[in-house]
Amino acid sequence: MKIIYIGAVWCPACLIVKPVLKKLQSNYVNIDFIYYDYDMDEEEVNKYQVGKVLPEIIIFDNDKEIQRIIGEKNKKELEGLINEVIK
Amino acid sequence: MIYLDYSATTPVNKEVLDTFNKVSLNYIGNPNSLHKLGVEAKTLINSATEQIADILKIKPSEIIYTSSASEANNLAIKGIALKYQNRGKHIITTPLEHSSIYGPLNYLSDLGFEIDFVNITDNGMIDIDHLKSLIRNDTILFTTNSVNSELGIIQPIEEIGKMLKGYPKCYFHVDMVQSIGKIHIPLDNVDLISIEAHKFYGIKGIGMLIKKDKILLEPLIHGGKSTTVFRSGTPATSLIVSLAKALRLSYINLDEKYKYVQNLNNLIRMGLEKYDDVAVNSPINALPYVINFSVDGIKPETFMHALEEYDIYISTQTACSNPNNISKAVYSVTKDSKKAGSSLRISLSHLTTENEVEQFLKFFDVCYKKLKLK
Repeated sequence: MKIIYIGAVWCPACLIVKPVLKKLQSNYVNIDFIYYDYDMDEEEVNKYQVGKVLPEIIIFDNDKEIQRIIGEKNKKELEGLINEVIK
Repeated sequence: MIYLDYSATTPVNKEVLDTFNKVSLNYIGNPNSLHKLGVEAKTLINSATEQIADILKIKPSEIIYTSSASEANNLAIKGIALKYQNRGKHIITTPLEHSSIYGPLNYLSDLGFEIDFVNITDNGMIDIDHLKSLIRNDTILFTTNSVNSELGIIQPIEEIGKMLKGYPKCYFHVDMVQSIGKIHIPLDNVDLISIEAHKFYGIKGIGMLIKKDKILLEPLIHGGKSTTVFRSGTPATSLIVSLAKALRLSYINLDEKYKYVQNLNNLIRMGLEKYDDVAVNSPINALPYVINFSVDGIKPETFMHALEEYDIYISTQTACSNPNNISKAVYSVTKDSKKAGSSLRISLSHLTTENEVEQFLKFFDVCYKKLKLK
């Protein structure tokens, strides 16, 4: 399983979500976390059809997208949405 | 041409450009050189710096010249954070900031700094009680703008500054890019202030960070002393002198210009209110130079380009925000993601005429009807 995070330096919601995701990362030792910057990692980001709202967190199971979390979320919401699909 | 994007940038004043040209041609020395030509250039810079300090009622030693307000914002935020990180790693900001505030904050967040957002009231003002509740022992900085570039909301800087005096470990930085040369804001209780010349009819490529003498910063650019140890690089004599000139000119008849623009703002608001599906997002008490609005059902880029066909120029969000993202600032005030994703901004000047406003409203109607029929 892997979780891809796409954010940007100019994005205020990313200031909230990225540190929360980084804290949660230690709870999911069997999941690969990959962080992309919307502007710097353009080639990679283009593969994921990112919409109008950042950040986007995309969860993959065997390369199949199983969850996409978009925009500002607090720790509880984020944890709930991740747990929902990795059970 | 009808230019209504003055908050993005202003056309340079001819007198300012003349000053820039004269200084560029006649003061060729490096101000750091010890010979006569260098001393002449340095003397001119010192005189311009004193003039700026006099206008803004600050000390000349508090001025750090930068290439832009983005650089000034970066220098203020990273400079404070890296210098005072032994005191704490907590910074507070608002959801109404320019990307050159969020950029350094995201950078610092990756380095382990903790960033909190203060709540905004329904009319877009900083919730000062909430700000107080967020301040901790390890809070080293609160950074905000004085006027939001997208909506024109004017923050109570003096009141916030007085409150923060009770927290001496927490420095107060204000991005004053959209207010200098438009309104009077006392700078006494603010520790760091960012400004740039091209927002008040100066030349692009010069800005300033005003920093109270007692405060130290980690520089972004290390090198020689220049005009200050906090920002190295050969001082740009002609840009500095032209900045002083632009600033002086912007303060002439400032109140009269404000009243004149308020009248233009009223005309535009009245014109837009006629449409059921056009919402003005800027609060009524916002800076009259800025009117943010949303047109339901029409993409803002489409509307902007439709007006462009008639040689009318307004903007979508701000010139420096990302086109693919909804406006956090508009969302904070409207609580409506549709409006936040479809906002347009008109920004006015004392140079804008009533006839231009009438023409804008006329062609707004033409574009509106054309696009609604599609």
